[in-house]
Amino acid sequence: MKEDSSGNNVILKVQGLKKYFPVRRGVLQRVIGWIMAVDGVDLELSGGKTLGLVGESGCGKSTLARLILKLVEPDAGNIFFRGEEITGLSRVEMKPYRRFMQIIFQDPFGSLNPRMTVGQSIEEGLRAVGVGSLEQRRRRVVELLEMVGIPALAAQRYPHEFSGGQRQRIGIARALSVDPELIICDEPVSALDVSIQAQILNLLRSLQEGLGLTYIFIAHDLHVVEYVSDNVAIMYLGHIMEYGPAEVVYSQHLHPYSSALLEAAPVPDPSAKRSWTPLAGDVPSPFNPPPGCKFQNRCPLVEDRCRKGEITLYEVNGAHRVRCWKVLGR
Amino acid sequence: MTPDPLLIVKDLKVYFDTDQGMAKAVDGVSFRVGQGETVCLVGESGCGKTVSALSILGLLPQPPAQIAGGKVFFKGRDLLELEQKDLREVRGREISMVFQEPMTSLNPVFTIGHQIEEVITTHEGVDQIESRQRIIRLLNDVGIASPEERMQDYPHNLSGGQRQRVMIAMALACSPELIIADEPTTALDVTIQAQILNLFKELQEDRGMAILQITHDLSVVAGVADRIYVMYAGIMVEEGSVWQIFREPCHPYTMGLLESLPGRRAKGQDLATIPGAVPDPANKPPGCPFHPRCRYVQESCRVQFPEMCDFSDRHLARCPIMYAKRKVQSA
Ligand SMILES: Nc1ncnc2c1ncn2[C@@H]1O[C@H](COP(=O)(O)OP(=O)(O)OP(=O)(O)O)[C@@H](O)[C@H]1O
Ligand SMILES: Nc1ncnc2c1ncn2[C@@H]1O[C@H](COP(=O)(O)OP(=O)(O)OP(=O)(O)O)[C@@H](O)[C@H]1O
Ligand code: SF4
Ligand SMILES: [Mg+2]
Ligand SMILES: [Mg+2]
Repeated sequence: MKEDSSGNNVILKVQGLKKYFPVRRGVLQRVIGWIMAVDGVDLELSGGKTLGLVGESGCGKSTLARLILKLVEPDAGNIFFRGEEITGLSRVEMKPYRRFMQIIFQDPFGSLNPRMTVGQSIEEGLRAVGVGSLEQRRRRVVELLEMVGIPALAAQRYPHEFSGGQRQRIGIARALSVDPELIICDEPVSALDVSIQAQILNLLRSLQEGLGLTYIFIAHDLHVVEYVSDNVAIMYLGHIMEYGPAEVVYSQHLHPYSSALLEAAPVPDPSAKRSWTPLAGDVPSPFNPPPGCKFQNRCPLVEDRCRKGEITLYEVNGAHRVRCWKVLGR
Repeated sequence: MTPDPLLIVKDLKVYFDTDQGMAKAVDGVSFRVGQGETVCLVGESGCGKTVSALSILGLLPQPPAQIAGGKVFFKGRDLLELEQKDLREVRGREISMVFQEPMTSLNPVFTIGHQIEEVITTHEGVDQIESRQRIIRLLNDVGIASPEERMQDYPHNLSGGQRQRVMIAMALACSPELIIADEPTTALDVTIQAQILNLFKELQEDRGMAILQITHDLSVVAGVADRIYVMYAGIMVEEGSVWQIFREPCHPYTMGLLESLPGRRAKGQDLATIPGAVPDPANKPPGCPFHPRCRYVQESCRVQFPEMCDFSDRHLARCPIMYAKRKVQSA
């Protein structure tokens, strides 16, 4: 393990990562603009820790996840896994890294092969990384399914024969099967009721304690993110707006968007009915956004300066960072 | 105040013939949804919520599914008796559905604008200009930025939550009287979720639209439900108003569910769960299906299928043990 300046073991480092999707229109499919899905993201992740990633739907979380795993090619930036640069690696060159970096996809149906039983799907993954004999692999499949609360008999069934939440748990079992070091969990518990959700969160936590797994945890449920994360990054239109230790981001957040998001979190209590407050202003378009702060058209504090030049991610103290000059008075 | 029931589901049974035996995924489920009401269906993953919803609309392929019994009255007509052709009329004009997994119901080869347009034009004779305006308004209502641009996108160009919102826009396109929404806001952040829930509320107030919402998100349930039905292993175990369920849950499963909420536990501490796992629908225990996991279990629970007990005004739960306990307490 490489050590960074502060003595932490850095498992993943991402610098200046960008992904712009072209928008093509007309018969000639001419490019008429760009969607800036991920627009310059820096991250550093220590082994055995969890980074929570939250933000509005469409802000670029899944794209960032797919960039890190090299499922899409970045337009700019660098990715380092355990100190080694993997940015330019080809599919074949990535192969030895695959088993260490897994993803639990947001859409479990789309990520399972409909023509394979779930047992075959998981077993195939094990075979690809060369795990034991067929007999050993089958035993492992049963063990994995039971870990996520699916009866072993179900290994012989096809994806469509399961409920939404069962499929999601099959995706989790598959990601865990190859003993990865880093797992990107993209909405891993969104389809689960609270009791099974708790079971899965406890499982992820005990694996982290036992095996030192590192997670990037993407979720919309802010209570869940607070519970699982060591650090939290808040994204908005391809930018990280605020970053820091979970306690700090949750209780001393500074960015106006963080406030809008975190303070809108509904609570499971019928007497709190009035808490439905959408963000004011129109949802901004990711197409060719205006210069300056990406939050400008919805921000209650906006001033002229916010509309000029790029706003950088300022250091507040320790690891806490905020992309807003105004709240910091800088 | 009980609004006229728009939808009445009575003793619905849906089975699957599997290699492991007959899977009784839904085994006698009853509920009603009144005009302008929001009814929430909650319950553990795999308990039969989606299967119930899909069978109401005749959307489950038979076989493998078989409707083993029950009635589904919508405005007095039994939907289970309708021909496919008439059912298609009902779907998309009077009742529409938001599916749990958007990718399974969006067509990958058509633009989203095209798919919404199809819903609008098959049910109403509107011209192109009007239909385009309607599409833009719908996408705008569900919080999709630059709708004129985005309507030309294909499903794979969208994020998970954007696809979910396109599904909602499609479901609303025909101005339905009842919308059955299966986990409609699970992929949405809190601010957009709030926008969607407010939109639903407006449509209820303006047009009396009724909503049957399936969700495991108890914060959403607390905020929107008029009435809650709790399912477990293919049966209804409790029903009541939002206050009754949250403040005085009567069924041990409902109690366990409320105790599992995160936010009631500190970091690094295990979250509370209901021990054990949901039974496989092909292999359910005799007696009360919850008995292997229940902390109040008695001998009778292992053999006798429990009746629905009337706890208070329209608050029912399928647990005679708790019923007896509460009676003693209140006496
Ligand atoms: N293949 C693609 N082609 C064009 N645009 C894309 C593509 N994939 C994603 N986008 C766009 O990039 C933006 C970011 O999408 P992404 O899936 O990363 O969002 P997200 O944060 O995961 O959202 P959600 O919470 O809804 O899942 C969105 O505006 C989306 O429409
Ligand atoms: N085609 C099928 N063949 C066999 N069993 C099936 C089939 N479809 C569903 N089932 C089973 O029926 C049960 C109920 O499924 P359903 O999808 O209704 O659950 P759900 O309550 O919607 O759960 P979730 O919250 O996870 O979406 C599950 O145990 C599932 O495995
Ligand atoms: S930089 Fe300006 S617009 Fe952006 S969050 Fe701060 S005050 Fe608001
Ligand atoms: Mg996503
Ligand atoms: Mg379901």
